[in-house]
Amino acid sequence: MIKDYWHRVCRMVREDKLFSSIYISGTALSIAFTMVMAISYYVKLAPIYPEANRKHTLYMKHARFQEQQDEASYDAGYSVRAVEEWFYTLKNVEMVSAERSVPQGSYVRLPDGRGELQVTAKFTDPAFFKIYSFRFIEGSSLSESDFEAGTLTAVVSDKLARVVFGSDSCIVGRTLKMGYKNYRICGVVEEASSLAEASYAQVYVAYNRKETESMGGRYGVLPYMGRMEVTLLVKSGEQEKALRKELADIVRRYNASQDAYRLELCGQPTSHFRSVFQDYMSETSLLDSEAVRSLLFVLCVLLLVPGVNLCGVIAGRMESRVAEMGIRKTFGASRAVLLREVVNENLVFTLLGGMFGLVLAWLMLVIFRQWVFDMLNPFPGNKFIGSSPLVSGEMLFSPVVFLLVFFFCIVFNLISALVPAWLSLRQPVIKSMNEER
Amino acid sequence: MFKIILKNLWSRRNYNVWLFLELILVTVIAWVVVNPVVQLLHNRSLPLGYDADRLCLIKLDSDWSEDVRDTLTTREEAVRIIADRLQGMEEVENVLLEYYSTSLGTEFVWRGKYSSKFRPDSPVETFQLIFQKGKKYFETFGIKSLPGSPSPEQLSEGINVPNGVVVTRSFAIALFGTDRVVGDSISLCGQNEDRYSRIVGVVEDVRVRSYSDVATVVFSTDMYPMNQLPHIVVRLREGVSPSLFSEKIAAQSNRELCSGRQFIRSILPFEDLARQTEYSFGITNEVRLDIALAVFFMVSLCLGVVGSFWFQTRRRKEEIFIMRSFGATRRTIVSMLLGEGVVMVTMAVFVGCMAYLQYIHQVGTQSIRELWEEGFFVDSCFSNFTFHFTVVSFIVYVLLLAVVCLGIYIPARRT
Repeated sequence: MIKDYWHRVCRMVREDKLFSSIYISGTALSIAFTMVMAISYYVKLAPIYPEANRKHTLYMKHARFQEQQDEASYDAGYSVRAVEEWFYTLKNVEMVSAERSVPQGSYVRLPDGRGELQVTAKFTDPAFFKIYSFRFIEGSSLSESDFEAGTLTAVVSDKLARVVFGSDSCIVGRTLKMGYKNYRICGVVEEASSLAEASYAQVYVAYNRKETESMGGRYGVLPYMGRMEVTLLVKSGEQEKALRKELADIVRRYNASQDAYRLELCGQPTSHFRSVFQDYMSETSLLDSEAVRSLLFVLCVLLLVPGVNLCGVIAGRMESRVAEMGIRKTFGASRAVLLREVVNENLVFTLLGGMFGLVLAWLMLVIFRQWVFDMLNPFPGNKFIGSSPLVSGEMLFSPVVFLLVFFFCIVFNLISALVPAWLSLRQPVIKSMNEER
Repeated sequence: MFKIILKNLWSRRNYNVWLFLELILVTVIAWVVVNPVVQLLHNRSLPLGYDADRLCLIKLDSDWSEDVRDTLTTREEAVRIIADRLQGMEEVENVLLEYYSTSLGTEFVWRGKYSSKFRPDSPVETFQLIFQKGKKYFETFGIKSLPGSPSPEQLSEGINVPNGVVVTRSFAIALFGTDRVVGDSISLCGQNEDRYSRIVGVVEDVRVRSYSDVATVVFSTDMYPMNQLPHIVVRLREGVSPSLFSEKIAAQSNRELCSGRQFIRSILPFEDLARQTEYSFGITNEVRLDIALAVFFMVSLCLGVVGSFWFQTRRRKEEIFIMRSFGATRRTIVSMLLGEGVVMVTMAVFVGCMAYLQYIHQVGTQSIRELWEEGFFVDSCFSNFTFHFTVVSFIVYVLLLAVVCLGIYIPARRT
């Protein structure tokens, strides 16, 4: 039966090349654009190198200090004091890492007077390399002793090592001049894609406590406000709940200790999933996010509009099969059986179109990678200007991607084939058989 | 023929309903995606109000190699020395010191509300820009003054009036109803009520950002405590290329053009600065997404129309042969089919636009104009809602008509 079915479909493709080509092209286009959107967000959400623990990673980027006397409030990061007193002492957490936000790029001095190179640098701590699973080509991560002592050591990416030193081997122990400071390289890692935003950098160095503290705003008035952001790794949902309780206790103790300012965490720590879609700290629901609303709108129209479009094509196609359906009804085929058959036959075309669409989506993601991954971001900042993010195989060829394609194909097939087929099969048998071909 | 077209459309309504539905959906979506693109193109076509040609922003950085932090005063002094050295270069016409958020072309610009003595309850929201007296500010930016106002040179030198400000034409009209306001007083809301600033000059309108409409602007010399280093704006002489100048600076910056721990990090022509600002604010992304969606829907619509009308011409072969036998030419038949498409598109666009109009009235008519910023914009052709809606609807209609006619012509020419 499956063989007959398959032969019938192949015959249909050959018989009506016009219908086949239009249907498959329309489906491919719709699936391609849908998959571009879906993969761009999949890359931000799924575990990719080195952010393998995204599911259990939480972020605390801001705090709000609300003045009690008037309505003024200050949204900023945390100071080194806050990091050491509140976060490094947390009990319900696997790992805690803090990093200093760097508003402008850093510059590395190229040897032999070749000038300077702008790089992305992270000023962090040794725990950073325990949260993110970097692959070390040489050496090791920042050490606790160097961090405590304030020694200038750095971990660099392999690509940067090749640009600066001409090679990515025998780099450990060499000196990197960045920001007019000399760092001793202690490790070389495989460079991550800039799409892994939380962990991407070309140089990783330890933040200097004293220097970082002096950069904090309103120091003295708000000693816990500064420029640090904190990343937390938990092992399970239960630990996350306990962590939130512990942080709530910290907030309560702080607010009870003074009455000038009220500390609010605004729902933090934020899960990775939420952080991808959240535009502002104050958004309580994902639907408040412009990125989420834009994504839902775009996905709906990308499937719905071409689906309605192809309904017309299928309605025309069904007309030529009305007599066939009429004869089969006289032999006892029920409407449900015929409907299922028509929808399944169309599913073959949809899957063919889906395959072409997926290949087209891959091509679009690679060719337009400079801007397509940030297309729905309302505030991209200066992230990708002039840079081409690395798009790796694990991002494009994941099983989840194929499952998504299959799911969208099913949805698309239902939208485009179900209604016109059902309407066509409603006709009485006599009328179907007498219908002029 | 029009009656025949309507009869044909009605008799095939079962097949045409899907196309019609799709045309309505695409009309609404096309409106959403075409509107920002049309607005951006319109805004970019407006004069900037200042001359961005050969204007460059010079960003400075500090050398922290000795791990010693200079005071802000020391760094400011170093910046002034660099500015003086740049002024001495033959390629440079003029040099200004500007502060971020009070300068044309930067990402964030201060805002405030000003009122007048006679209209204290109707303040006007405006951008606030700061300039330094005696530094040829208006000449460097190429901002022109209105007749009846002092010349740009006089305004730059500074009229000896305490708290003197310069305003743009649109601000003057918004607050006073006329642009002859030299000598009138305005007050910044939120400040001391007795503190008035005197208008010493009126200049032509400027656009603070490349993507936005003309806005009200007040230029003041009041230097608020700026806890930041200034950056340098340079006007190059005629015939000097910004890229060559940038290369020359890069070669010299470590030797001749540094002072103390300050040195020149980069030079950015104002055109590039505008593109960067548009990107950071998501304007570029939005336009790219809109264009990508527009192309997608038009191609998709074209495929659907080609498919539908190809089936129709196949089904209507007998009818077409009969018409040909009665003397109808191929041209007549193609015109009839195109006519069916035109009528369908016209009806669908009308329905789609009316449906979207209801939505706009619910969310507020300013939502179609204030896409990227609120409140400061002066009246332009796009501030008239009816005009704005009509223009964009017409553009959508023309686009859809072109796509549908192409989709019909491809199968129809085979008849």
